[in-house]
Amino acid sequence: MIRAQRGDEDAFTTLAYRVGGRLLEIAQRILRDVDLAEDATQQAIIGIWQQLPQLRDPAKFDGWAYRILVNACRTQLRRERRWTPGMRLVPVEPIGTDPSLSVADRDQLERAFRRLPIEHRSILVMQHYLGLTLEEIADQLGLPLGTARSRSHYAKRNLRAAIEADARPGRDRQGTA
Amino acid sequence: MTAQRGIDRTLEMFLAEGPPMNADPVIEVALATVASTRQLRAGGLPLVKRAIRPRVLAWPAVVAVVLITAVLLLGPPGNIGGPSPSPTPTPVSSVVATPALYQTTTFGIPLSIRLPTGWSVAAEGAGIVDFDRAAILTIADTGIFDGQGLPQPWPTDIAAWLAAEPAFGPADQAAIVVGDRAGTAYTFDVDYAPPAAGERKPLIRAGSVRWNLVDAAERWRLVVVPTGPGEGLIGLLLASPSGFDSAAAAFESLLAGVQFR
Repeated sequence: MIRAQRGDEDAFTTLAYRVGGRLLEIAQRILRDVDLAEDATQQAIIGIWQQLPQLRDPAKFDGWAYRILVNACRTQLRRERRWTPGMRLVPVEPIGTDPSLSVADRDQLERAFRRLPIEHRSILVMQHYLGLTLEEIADQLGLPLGTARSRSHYAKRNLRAAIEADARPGRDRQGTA
Repeated sequence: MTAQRGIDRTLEMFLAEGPPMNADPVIEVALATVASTRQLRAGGLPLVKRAIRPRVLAWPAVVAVVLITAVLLLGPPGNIGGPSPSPTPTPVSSVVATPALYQTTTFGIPLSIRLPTGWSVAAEGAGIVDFDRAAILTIADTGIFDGQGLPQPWPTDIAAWLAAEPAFGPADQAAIVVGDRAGTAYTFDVDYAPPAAGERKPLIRAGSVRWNLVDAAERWRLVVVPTGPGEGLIGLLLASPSGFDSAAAAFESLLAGVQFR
């Protein structure tokens, strides 16, 4: 880490391979799109290289890197909106799925999750994918604990609202069919 | 209903799911850019000053990030990073119905594509129309990087370039006509192994997407159709060697529908 901070590219290469897989997994879960996630991860790795000398405490690398990744995810979402209006890749059925989550539920969740702002998505991913506590999330993202807590609360509330909104037209369609 | 479940548990199950992903090609491309990118010091000023070769400056479009896509490289997300699972292009659900006449304005070279049955557009972006397991690109938006991560000009002698690159097997060469313009089709195998830590490999980026095309051991057909000095169209098919012939036949039908406007 120290060598990479001083501009040692070989040391950074080792670091990039160590964290790259994790960053890609997180980006995919935030963005729900493999291509966007790959671009965000590439952007994040480059950003980590550029900003690494500014990291004062190497022990906080993971959270610092997640912050850069979340920013890269935000950039990718903006880019997607600008360049691919109406052009969506079709979600492919993921493998290794839990059978207790039905296809209908998963589709509903997928649509609802995509409606959330990036701040909410990233909190939910850190909390429910990385398994971090709100205290850890606040620390890693450099947020006050109260902010992390309220973002998590509103993210779930908005997710529930989005799911309910998503379910409503379906019920209407069934009723009129 | 989902809303009635414990939202926390549901979220855990939902986020635990996901396609298997191979980060190595992504990291590889990022590191290629790192090689010509300055670090910032704590105050935000450049820390490392490197001499940037004029070629780098002449290729900003190659280095620039532009857009998503490259499904052709990955296939369905369930197959990321692995060899091509399906040799034959298969229809994918898409916003573009097939068969259809599809006009793209994303290229500097205006063209239309009449999609034959079995093909549909998965995505498009600056310099690329992306099909399932194939793509149409422009030379201007396709980047080549050497083993040091430095961008290289598009080779004037494709055959010589392919022969000089160890990752590519010997190329069969054939004349082809695309949209009434003469071109050349190169067919060759890609011998790919994920790079070891610290190792860099030559890269080809699709369109202006930061994506490495050379990421799996598979057979390629690279169709190059010059349209002017340093300009032209590239057709690219990636398939497993065992089913390449049927994939190539489908690819030919796709290229037959390309018309320059």
